[in-house]
Amino acid sequence: MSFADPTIAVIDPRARRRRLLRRRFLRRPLAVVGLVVSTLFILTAILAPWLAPYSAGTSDFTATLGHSSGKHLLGTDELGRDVLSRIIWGARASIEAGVLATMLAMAIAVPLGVIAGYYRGFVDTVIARMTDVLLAFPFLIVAVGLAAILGPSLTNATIALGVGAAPGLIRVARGEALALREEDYVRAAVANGASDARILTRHVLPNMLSTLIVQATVAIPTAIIGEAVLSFLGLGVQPPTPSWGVMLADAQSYLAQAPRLAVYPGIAIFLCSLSFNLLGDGLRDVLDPRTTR
Amino acid sequence: MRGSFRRFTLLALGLVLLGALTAAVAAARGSTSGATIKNGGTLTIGLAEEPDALDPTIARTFVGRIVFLATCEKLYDLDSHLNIVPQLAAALPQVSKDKLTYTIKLRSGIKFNDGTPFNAAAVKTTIERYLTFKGSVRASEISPIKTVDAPNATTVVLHLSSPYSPLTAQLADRAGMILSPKALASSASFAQDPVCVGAFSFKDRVAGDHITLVKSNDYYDKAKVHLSSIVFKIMTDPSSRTQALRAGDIQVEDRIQSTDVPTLQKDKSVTVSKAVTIGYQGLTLNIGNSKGVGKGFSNTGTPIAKSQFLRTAFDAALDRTTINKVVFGGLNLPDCYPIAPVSPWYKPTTAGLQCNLHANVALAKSLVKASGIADPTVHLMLGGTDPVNARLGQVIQSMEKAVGINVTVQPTEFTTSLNTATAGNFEAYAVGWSGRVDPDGNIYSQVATPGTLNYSGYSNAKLDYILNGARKSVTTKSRDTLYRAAMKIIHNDRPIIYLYHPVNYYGTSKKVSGVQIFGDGLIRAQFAGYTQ
Amino acid sequence: MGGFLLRKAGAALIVVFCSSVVVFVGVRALPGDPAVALSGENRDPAVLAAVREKYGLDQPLPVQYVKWVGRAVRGDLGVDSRDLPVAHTIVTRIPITLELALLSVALGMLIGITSGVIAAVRRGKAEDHAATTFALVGLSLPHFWLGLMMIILFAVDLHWLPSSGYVSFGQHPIQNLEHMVMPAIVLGTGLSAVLMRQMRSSMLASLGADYVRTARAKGLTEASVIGKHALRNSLITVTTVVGLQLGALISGAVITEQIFVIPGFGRLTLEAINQRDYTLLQGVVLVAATGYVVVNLLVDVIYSLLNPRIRVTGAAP
Repeated sequence: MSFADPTIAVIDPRARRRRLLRRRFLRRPLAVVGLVVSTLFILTAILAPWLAPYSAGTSDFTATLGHSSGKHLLGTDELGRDVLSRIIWGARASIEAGVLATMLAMAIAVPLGVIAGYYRGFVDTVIARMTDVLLAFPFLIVAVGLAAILGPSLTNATIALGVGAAPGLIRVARGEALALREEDYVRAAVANGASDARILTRHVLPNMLSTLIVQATVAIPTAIIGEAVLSFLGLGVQPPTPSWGVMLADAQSYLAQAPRLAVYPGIAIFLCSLSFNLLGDGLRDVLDPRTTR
Repeated sequence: MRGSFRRFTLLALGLVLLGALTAAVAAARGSTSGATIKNGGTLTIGLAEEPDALDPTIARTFVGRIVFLATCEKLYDLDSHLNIVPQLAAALPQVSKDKLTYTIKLRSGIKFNDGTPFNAAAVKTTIERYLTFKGSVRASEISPIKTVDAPNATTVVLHLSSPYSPLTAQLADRAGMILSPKALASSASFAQDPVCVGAFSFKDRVAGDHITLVKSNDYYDKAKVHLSSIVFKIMTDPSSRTQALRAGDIQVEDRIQSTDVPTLQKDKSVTVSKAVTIGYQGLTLNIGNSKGVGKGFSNTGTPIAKSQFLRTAFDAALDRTTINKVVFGGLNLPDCYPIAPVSPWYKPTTAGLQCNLHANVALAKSLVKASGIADPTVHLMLGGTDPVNARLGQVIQSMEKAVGINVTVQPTEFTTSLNTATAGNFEAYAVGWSGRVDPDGNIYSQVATPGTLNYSGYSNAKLDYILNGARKSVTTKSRDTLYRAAMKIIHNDRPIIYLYHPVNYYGTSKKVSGVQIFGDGLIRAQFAGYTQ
Repeated sequence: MGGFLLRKAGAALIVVFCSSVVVFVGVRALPGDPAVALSGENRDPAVLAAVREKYGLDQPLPVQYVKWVGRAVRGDLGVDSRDLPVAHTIVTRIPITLELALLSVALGMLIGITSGVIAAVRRGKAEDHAATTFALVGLSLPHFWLGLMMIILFAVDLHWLPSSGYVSFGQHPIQNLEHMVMPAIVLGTGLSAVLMRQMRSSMLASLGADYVRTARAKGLTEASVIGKHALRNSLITVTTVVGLQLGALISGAVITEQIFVIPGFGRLTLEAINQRDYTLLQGVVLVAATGYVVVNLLVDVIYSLLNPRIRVTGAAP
């Protein structure tokens, strides 16, 4: 609402900043849309058992490839399963993979990147070379290889996606740590004799937070599409658990007879990753000190 | 008046004769294939898988046999009724009374595709290579052959260590393909430049993409060969294979996927033909394979291994007709036996046995109860990660759930699944067999105790005795009786639940004529050609 | 310049070496006995023993590794399970992927750079919104789905383009391009989206920069301002982006070649893994990793040529 009491605004700089950021965010309709839609997808994933009219595996062999009807709003697939329900249940695989893979990537990348950027020298060289080696292998090959070694499953696909996203994030974290190292307050802390751990946890990491959040919201859609690709290739979620990528793979054989089976899951993937992208863009704009609005 | 009448009669007679002659010519033309086949042109065949090494000594793939058909002839071949007929041999083998000596007369005047003569010495060299080459996959197929003699250029004598009735059938497959000794001697890897007797000779190959063959000038029947070259394109994706046929990029499509068959049948530029194969697809249940094939038998202790009731229940819960309809568009042939109805062995060996093509849910439920196992679970390994396997797995899962059996499905890449099955790390495995003409070829390796493909770990001394007897016996009647007894035992114990026989659908452009497919499912295009 | 290059090359060499070890160990980590995989249906112990000997599988791992690397350096990558030389297969199939990659990058740069420049110059106006939306869509669209949709529309429904396959340029140039149109669009969309956004933001930054204001103050035309100064600096950004997107390009090529059935290098990688063809897989992944490192090195060199500051200080970008 309005800042009726000016003393509050003066006394608590962090709350003031948060309010400012919130206002700036709300001024961007696209970002708001992104937030709302991505939240809807997350809620769909969590509430799937209550939202979906049928279970993901219920088959009606007498009603295969059915068109939209009262009983099946989006029709049925080649095994007589309700398409709408499978789309709803499929959100689980995508959100799980997207969020968990990104978290895994962060967990690997942030410590490594910060150590490399903060300490520099030999440690930096070793980590940089390791990152280069990781980058030399296209993520898809790593994923396929991991699936071959560990067996295909959603967990292994998530691991592969996390490992694939890590090198890029290491570079970002390293760049941030490198820059923050030179900041005055960090130098002051060093001069005051603060321990490395204290500096890192109290000064470096909190100031990287906004960049990391933005990177995370951009990494999530990549992971969501990555999960779809892996499931499409048969390396992710295993039947009968649905996933939008698996639905696309199944639809390929029926492109001539029932192209709609390929349209629905694709739109789901598109809208889901679009919403996270919009959210990420909005957050980046809001947190970027250079933009004025 | 008389004179003109005679002239009239002569004229009428002449016209009738002319008509008869024309009809005869037309009929002759029609029997060869409708319209005249032009000479020249390249036929492109879209194969569903990639052949492995083009050396019959080590080749294992089904599609490799398709390539060999055009470029590597055998001692014997199959005709359209799956009877064994001579190809490079002059006649069927003469078998001695004790069944231990096979005398094969060879045709003469035949040359390999490098110009060297085809003769008994070449046959001897080839068979000895198949028996002794390190890593030869053919050795176990013709293992009873002890020695090979070539008394003259057109006679080969095989000495066996024990009677073996499937031998002639083996010589009608890769074990009977004769290789050029000159080619064998001049290169360490025959597969990189194979030379045999064939309508076409090998030109080049790009792994994963194509194999090119060109018309051979040394072929003994080259007058019958119309095409100037055949290109095999490797097109593993069935949807794009169909697209390529419709677009004219290929003229022959290998194994159309079931979902494309109705579309192609409506396409006016394409002829769809089908071949009911001699193979089978089913579920192999791991009963005694705990340590690996060939490493002894001990019951694995899983619900499906312990209880014969549960295995029977599993079978009764499956509706083979619905599986066929939903997974394969109704295009395959549901059945309960390893031998296919197209085989002359089918009727006599399955007489009196009952095959249920529909599920018997009540029976299945009561059998589950009788098994005494509460909430039984079965892990089903699929032999592929493609959509068809996925559909099959999910349909089976759904049907078993209805009778109270929980099935978890593991789609596994094909080669990995073979490894896993060999090691015994599975409970149920959805796998098939491409099929052999002789019934022994569809049964022995899979369910006999020493069978190299006995993933099930099934060991039944009575069955072994029957199968070995059937191998040694040479009269059809005694073999019929023996195989019928074998079927009964297999049907009871269910180490394998047979589901269907694949029916392969092939597409041929209407511009091409002379492409044939028999029950073995192999595309024969050596004498085909363009009519437009 | 020399010192910088030498250091970069040295780093690249280390990466290639480490990659070769990772490839070797990774392939060996695949489950199952490779001899069994290579022997197929036949379980005859004699066959297995022969296969082990042929591929040297019975020797200790370090010996196998040294032998493999020694031969690889000379260009001999062994024979695959079809008895065909791996090096020959790779050499025949790489140009196809190169053509796809080149067409995609060209398309991506064309669309990305032009739309990015237009969006920056026309900031806030309709063109900017349109271009930004397009970029956002391009980023969020799963490109393999785009491929499927395009196949449905252009091949199945309209019959304008072939749905899959490949015809070599030498054989039939027009057909070759017909087969490459949809794949190049699919692969280039992602790149163009990223490029557009980077171009736009870096041009906006440049256009507001001091040296540009000076140029404008000097009275230079708008075109000259955009053309010479802002654009040149933005090319540095483009090079960096293309370099960073290289990995995504390779992954994208694998799935694009899969959908459109193009017999290129990407598809070869998938085939090798699916068929458990260990020799082929080793050779393919090694070449892929080495290629990536080499291209990255080239990108670094180009970047340093464009940005002299890096050459002098040698600081990492």
